[in-house]
Amino acid sequence: MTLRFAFPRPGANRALDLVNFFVADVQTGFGPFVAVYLTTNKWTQVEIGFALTLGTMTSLISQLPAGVLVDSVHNKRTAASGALVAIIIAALLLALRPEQLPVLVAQMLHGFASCVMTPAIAAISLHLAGHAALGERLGRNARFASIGNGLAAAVMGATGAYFSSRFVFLLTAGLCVPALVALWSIGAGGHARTQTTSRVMDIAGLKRLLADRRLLIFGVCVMLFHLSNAAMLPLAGAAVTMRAGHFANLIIAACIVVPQIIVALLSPWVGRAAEKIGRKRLLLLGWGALPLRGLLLAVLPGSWPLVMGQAVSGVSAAVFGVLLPLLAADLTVGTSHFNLCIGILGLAMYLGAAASTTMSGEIADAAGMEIAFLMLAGIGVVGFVTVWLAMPETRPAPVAVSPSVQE
Amino acid sequence: MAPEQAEAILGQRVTDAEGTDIGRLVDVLVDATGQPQAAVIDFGGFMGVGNRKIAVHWSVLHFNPGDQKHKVTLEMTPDQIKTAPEFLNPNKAAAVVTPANTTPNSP
Repeated sequence: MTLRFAFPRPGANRALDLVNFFVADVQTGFGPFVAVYLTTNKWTQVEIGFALTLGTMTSLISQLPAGVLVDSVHNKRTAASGALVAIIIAALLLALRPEQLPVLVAQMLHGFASCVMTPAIAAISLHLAGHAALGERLGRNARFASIGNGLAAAVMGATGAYFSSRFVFLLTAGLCVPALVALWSIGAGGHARTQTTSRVMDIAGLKRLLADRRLLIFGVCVMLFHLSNAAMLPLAGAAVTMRAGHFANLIIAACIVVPQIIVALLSPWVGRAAEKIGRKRLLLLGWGALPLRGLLLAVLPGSWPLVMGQAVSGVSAAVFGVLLPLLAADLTVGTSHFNLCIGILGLAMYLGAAASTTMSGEIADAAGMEIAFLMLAGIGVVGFVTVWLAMPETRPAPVAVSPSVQE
Repeated sequence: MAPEQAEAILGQRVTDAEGTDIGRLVDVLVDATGQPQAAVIDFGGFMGVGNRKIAVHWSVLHFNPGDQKHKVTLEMTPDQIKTAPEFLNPNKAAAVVTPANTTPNSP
């Protein structure tokens, strides 16, 4: 019976690449375009702020339930499809009914769907590739996601300017369709089924997971990473807009595109390296690049250092994007809560990011940009040291697999 | 009211003296008698990064209901725009850029 799933089909891998590409396209459409779109529809700043905050809050509190949900669903592609359908509805609501209730509903739908999508894709990747090849598969996910992100940003930015912002949301809804098609072309993967599917009330496994010190340590590291990382670009971007005038848009576009290119180039290498040289060295690379970027932004104000800083952040992003789901897989071997683990780490990420922008905004107002960047860099250093001293290597010991034994 | 007489301004694009699109008018600050004192303009940025809001004195704005493309124009040089302090919190004293000088004063 298991023989059927022994050889991953090359078509399935390509289909998963496309899923990542299209999902990234879709998520790009929901980012900053919502604020602009609502502004053109005469929403006041307070109302817009509320809608955006509602979306963020929904995502925050959905992390854990979404993880549990994806764990309990046997066919992860069903969960991902449900999320995509919710996103189609959200995008259409935004495009066609920009009034208060439809928009708030759309924000909540999108927030929840995003929290389902991330672990579902990770679980599908694990099913397809198996634990030993997961690093490389996740690297491919990250590569196609960043390509999708970059292309979508360019296309939507251009069409949003020339046509209406409404068009961006219609396009977003439309892009969900190829995502769904690609999703169902993947077929069932056979690896790691028990790790990613739990009976809903598996309390013992849950306790085992939550008691794992490594999860706590990594969660703290993730939070510190985003506490340092999240505010750096907005802070620097505001400074650039102030100084550069007409070129500001171009510079900021470069700031967004450069890290995407680096993530696209580096991610598969990161995935392979995680298998060959272990996770910890890569964690040190990713977490270490972050304070360097902060230092660069603090010490050298100006547009070119900013773009260079973004290149450095691409390295961190590549490491982070691949290693978060990979470590979730490492930490949940033997339990059946892979998706919940991703939800927990996602929550740590959101909390760190939220605190980052709030805190650094206050500090920049009170003490100036330099101090704010130095502080963010300092937090980055704390994160780096935590990884260095407290985080163990989590790569599972290689198991000798003879050709007749399935994983 | 006919469109040539009065125009809706919230969310409207703001152009500079040469007609280049520079941002959107996102809020209006009125005094106790309901007279508009200043407008909040959202400048710049790309994909949500680098946006700034500044508060400009009402007299710096010109409104052209008849002109489809330039409904709201802002009479400030790019340098003045660049150095304007950011408008952050409607509950705190706002720094408003006035036409007579480039240094802000609080209302």
